[in-house]
Amino acid sequence: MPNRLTRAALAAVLAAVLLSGSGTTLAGWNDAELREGQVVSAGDLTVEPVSTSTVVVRPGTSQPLPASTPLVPGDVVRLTSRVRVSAAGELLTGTLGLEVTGLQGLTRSTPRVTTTLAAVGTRGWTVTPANDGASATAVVDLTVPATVAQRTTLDAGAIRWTLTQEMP
Amino acid sequence: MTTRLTACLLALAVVLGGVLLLRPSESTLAAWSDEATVTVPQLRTGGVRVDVAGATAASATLGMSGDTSGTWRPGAVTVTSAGRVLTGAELAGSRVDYRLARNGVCAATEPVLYSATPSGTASSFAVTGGERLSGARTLCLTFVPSDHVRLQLGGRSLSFATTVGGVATASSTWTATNTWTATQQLPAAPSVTAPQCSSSWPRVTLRWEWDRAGMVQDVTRWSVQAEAESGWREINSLNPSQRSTGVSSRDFPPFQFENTQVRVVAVLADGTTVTSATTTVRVERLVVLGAVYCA
Repeated sequence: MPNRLTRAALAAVLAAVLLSGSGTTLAGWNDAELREGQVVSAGDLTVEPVSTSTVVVRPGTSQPLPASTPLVPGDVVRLTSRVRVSAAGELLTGTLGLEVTGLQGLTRSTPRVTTTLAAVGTRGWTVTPANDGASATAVVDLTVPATVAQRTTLDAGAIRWTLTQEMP
Repeated sequence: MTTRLTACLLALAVVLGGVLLLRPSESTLAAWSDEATVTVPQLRTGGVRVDVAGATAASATLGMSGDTSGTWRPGAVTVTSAGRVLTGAELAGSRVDYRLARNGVCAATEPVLYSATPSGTASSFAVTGGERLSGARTLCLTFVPSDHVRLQLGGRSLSFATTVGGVATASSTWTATNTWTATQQLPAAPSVTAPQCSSSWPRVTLRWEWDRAGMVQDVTRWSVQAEAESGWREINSLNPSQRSTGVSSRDFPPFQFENTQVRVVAVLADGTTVTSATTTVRVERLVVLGAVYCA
């Protein structure tokens, strides 16, 4: 007959195994019952572009020029991107982010973002089901430097919106 | 008793360690995510160029065009004659002047804005002076030939290829060049007419005319020369105001019975000479007797 200490140790081991969450290995009994199909609704967490515009703002001109306008040093290429977020699901929380490091070749300004979403950190906004359908608009100015060559094409890159679920 | 206790504790530690390793961790949690990439459309830069319009022998309308404004000025000029590029030495003392036209008309009374002074062995001459210009302006080219050029190239056609350099106001790296070519005829070279012979037995009188042709310097003396066995021999030297001279048999060797070529040479201040065409006279001399006739 094991003594008291041994029995206590065995009890602790059994408790630990039961509490470890690996119960699947302990389930010996099972049962199954066929029920009619039930509608299971998954949540939703998406970001999609609503509108994008690129215009050229030339110092001294009152109206923006189309993006096809041949650029000259001092011109500002203004990229405006509007996205809409969808968030549906219980206890769902996400963070909308904006990355502008993909922009290249021109002198980039700090993006100006207009949204009803609550800001979190730098260029981050909290998205919850309460914000389903909310939008965010970013404006980035790209200034043409004096060092740019004439009669050449420019690939100015892209911005990236990200929407990532935050785990509870 | 102690050994059993230790074994139990080790077993407990192994089990707890397994639990820690096998329990779900946050790194294994899957999270939803989405993204949208917005690309800037392909852009292109503009440029500038230098325009040369309405070029004539003396003027052209120069300016810059393109996607931004800029300034320009003539940079250098090259001079050619009959397709041959002339060196600075060949054009020494000459000047290429540039003036702005007034109301589209080139006038020598306008101030010289730019100028090039050829010299040395170079064949392209920097245009100096003045400021950079903006907008379209009519520039006038005037060639001021030196006496040397008047003598050597008088009457010929010279082409002046002026390179015009432009730079954009917004960027010093946006540059453009163009060439304006103007062709001008030089005035005829200074000349001495072939001496005309008139008989006044036993002598002849030679007369000639002098065309200075705009040269700065003038004749310092006249040298009347006769053909000799070893070239030309001066038979008379006259002051610059004279345009005629008498020639007698004494101006020739003591024994001569033949036609002889005579000519007149203008000797200029810098020693340069301008020689006339020749005229033939007949010389008949026998020591102290003799005469000269027009041939």
